[in-house]
Amino acid sequence: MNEESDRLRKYLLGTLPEPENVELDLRIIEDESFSTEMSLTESELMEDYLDGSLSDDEFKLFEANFLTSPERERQLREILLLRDYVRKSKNADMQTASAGDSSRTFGDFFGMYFRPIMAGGALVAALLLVAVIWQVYFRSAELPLEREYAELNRKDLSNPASVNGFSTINLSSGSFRDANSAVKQSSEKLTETVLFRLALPAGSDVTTAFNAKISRGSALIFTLNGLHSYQNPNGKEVRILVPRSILQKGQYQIRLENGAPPVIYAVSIE
Amino acid sequence: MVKHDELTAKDFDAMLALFSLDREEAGEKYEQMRSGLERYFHFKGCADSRALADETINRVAAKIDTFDPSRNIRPASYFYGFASNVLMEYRRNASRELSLSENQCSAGITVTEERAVEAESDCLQKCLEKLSAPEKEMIVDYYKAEGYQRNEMRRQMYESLECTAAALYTKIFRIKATLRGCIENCLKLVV
Repeated sequence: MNEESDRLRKYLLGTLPEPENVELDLRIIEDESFSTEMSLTESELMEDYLDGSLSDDEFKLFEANFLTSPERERQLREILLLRDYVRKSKNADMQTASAGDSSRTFGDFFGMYFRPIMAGGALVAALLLVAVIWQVYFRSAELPLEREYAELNRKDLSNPASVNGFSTINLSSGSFRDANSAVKQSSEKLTETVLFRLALPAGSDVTTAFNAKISRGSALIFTLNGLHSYQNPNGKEVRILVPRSILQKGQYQIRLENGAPPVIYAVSIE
Repeated sequence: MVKHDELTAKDFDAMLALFSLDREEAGEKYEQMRSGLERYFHFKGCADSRALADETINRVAAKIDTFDPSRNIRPASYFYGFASNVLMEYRRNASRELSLSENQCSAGITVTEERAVEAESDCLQKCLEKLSAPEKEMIVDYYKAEGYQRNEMRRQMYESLECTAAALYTKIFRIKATLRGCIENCLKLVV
């Protein structure tokens, strides 16, 4: 973030010192073209809020000083709806792509070895085969890992003995705006099961269970539902156990959701 | 907030003279000032920025005879003085109203609100389909980027379009305005 956009954020959050505040007030009144820059900063602030990447102080200021008009609430809801749409269509595309790739492979196979008159029937058979493989392979080979870890995470993890021996990664939802500011962890030091301790921002609603979505790059790779929060000396945290096998080298994002604005954590496995 | 009466023709003319002695030019500058004040109240997070801008103008006009042209004050600074008072009063009232509403019981998210969100989501989907393919692709790509990848993905996006971040946002802003209009119409049909 450059100095100017930092200044505009402070203005919008109401923490800019008075002389600079007056300067920007007058600029807004006199210079119409400046409103584009202001609107962009407004929008980025809203996205940071939804990403959970505002610091604790910024989060409080956002709700107290920024989210104060129906217009801004509408803008925030609009971004939320658009993101939701994009996420759903991304998931749908991934499923279609997987099915498409498989059916193409089988289609080519049947196309090569069968006479044209049989191609239609072969294609139907291929699609049926894909459906069976989807059910048998993906449902039984991929989801069980999530099911197995869902079982593990349902246990009470407050007792140190229950998580003893697992490598631990402590994360907080600070202001990470690029990959370089994410927590870095060497893959060599990870045990077969890894414990993530995700510090919750002050004031988080802990009465509702959390769902965690782990993404590598833009792809969702692992989901855990019904997670509990635990007390630590500084506040509350969510503890999750995940298999090391999903943590290859790369950038990961863990998104905690429980109906309130999501909290996002970033970790880089090296 | 103490509301000031509508502008009288005499006060309005005197206020126009603040901007220029040429009436047409003064009219244009007055309109610019009005929208500038609206922007000011919007970026201060006020609910009804248009009404607050009008209130500021009414107050300036009511006090126009106290304006001393020999002091060479920029019109924007003069209006700004009144606008900051209007803002202060607005905030005082808003916090009073907030403390009143906090004392009332909250029923949480109601079924009606949930349905409204669903309807809005359905309308968004329909309206996205009505956009041109490049527009839809652009807005979907823009909001595909989340979290720490956002800055990098957006940078790639505006570099490939050979424009600045602000110019890209202006395009997105326009698409969103089209979507908003469409969603509003769509929701009227649902209700």
